Amino acid sequence: MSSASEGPHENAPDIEFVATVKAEHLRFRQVPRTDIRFSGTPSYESSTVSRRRNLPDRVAADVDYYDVRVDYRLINRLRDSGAPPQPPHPHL
Amino acid sequence: MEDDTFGTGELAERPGYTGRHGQGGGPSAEPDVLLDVPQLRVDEIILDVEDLSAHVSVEANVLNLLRLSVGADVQLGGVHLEIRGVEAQALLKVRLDKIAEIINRVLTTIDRNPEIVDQIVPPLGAVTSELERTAGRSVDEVSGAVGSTASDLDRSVADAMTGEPGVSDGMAGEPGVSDAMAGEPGVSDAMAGEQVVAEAPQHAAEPAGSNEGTPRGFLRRLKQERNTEELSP
Repeated sequence: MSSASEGPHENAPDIEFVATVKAEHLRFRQVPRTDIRFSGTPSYESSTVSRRRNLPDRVAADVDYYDVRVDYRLINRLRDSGAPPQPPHPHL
Repeated sequence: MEDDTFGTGELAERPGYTGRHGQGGGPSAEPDVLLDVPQLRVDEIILDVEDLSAHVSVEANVLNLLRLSVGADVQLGGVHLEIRGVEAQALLKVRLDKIAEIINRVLTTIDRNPEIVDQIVPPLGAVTSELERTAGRSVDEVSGAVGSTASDLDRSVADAMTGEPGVSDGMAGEPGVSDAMAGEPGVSDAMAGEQVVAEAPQHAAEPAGSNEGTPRGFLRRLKQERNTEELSP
């Protein structure tokens, strides 16, 4: 299981993606290149969690994996400061 | 499917998790956007993907007081795999409660402090004034250029009618004008050059009938015809 930054969970996430994939047999012909980026203004709290069965964190090409299972969850939420908005600068 | 997925097992126990079974309660239990793939079964998949990307984001702006955005980008630079006996579930949820609450707070703040709006208006007014100044300046420049060209044309036509040799010289001496009118500098310059050459003998001797095709020749011919009519019985 790998985890990115874990934020507080006092609120439900604004964006949430949950997926589960099971397979009897899995074979990568090429190591996949993946990238996950989060964004948020003014600030955000993000988290990715994955749990794997019979699958290493870094897979290898041309290796057979059997009875595989991956549970994945991605969340991102605005960090709410709770402060009222500041009046804009007159020259902005 | 086993029951210890993120949706119904471990993740469901996390504070704030509001899975498909509604854990967590409260106003955020139901998402505003829901994409649910409850169960997918495929015997075999051979996947060959390059540069696949998925982007999910929520943005909200209130004038220049508030800018909110939250999003996630997932990119697969390359995936080449074979998978058999596949079972999959996927669930995407987007909640707008918090953003709506923040916007509501902003509007409440504006309602209680309307002077905030006054501080927003001057920048808008400044932008409008700048646009007006720019537009006015552009119109003045265009009208000035047109006026200058028109006066040059008037002078050229008047000179042509009176037969002054400076007509073609004036046109040739202002390539910008002739270029703009002709659109082909080479052509207009060549025409001006021909006129200069043709005008040269007029200064030297001005033989009668030598410029029959010119305005001067036309005026002279009219005068001669008029004299002829007066003399004829």
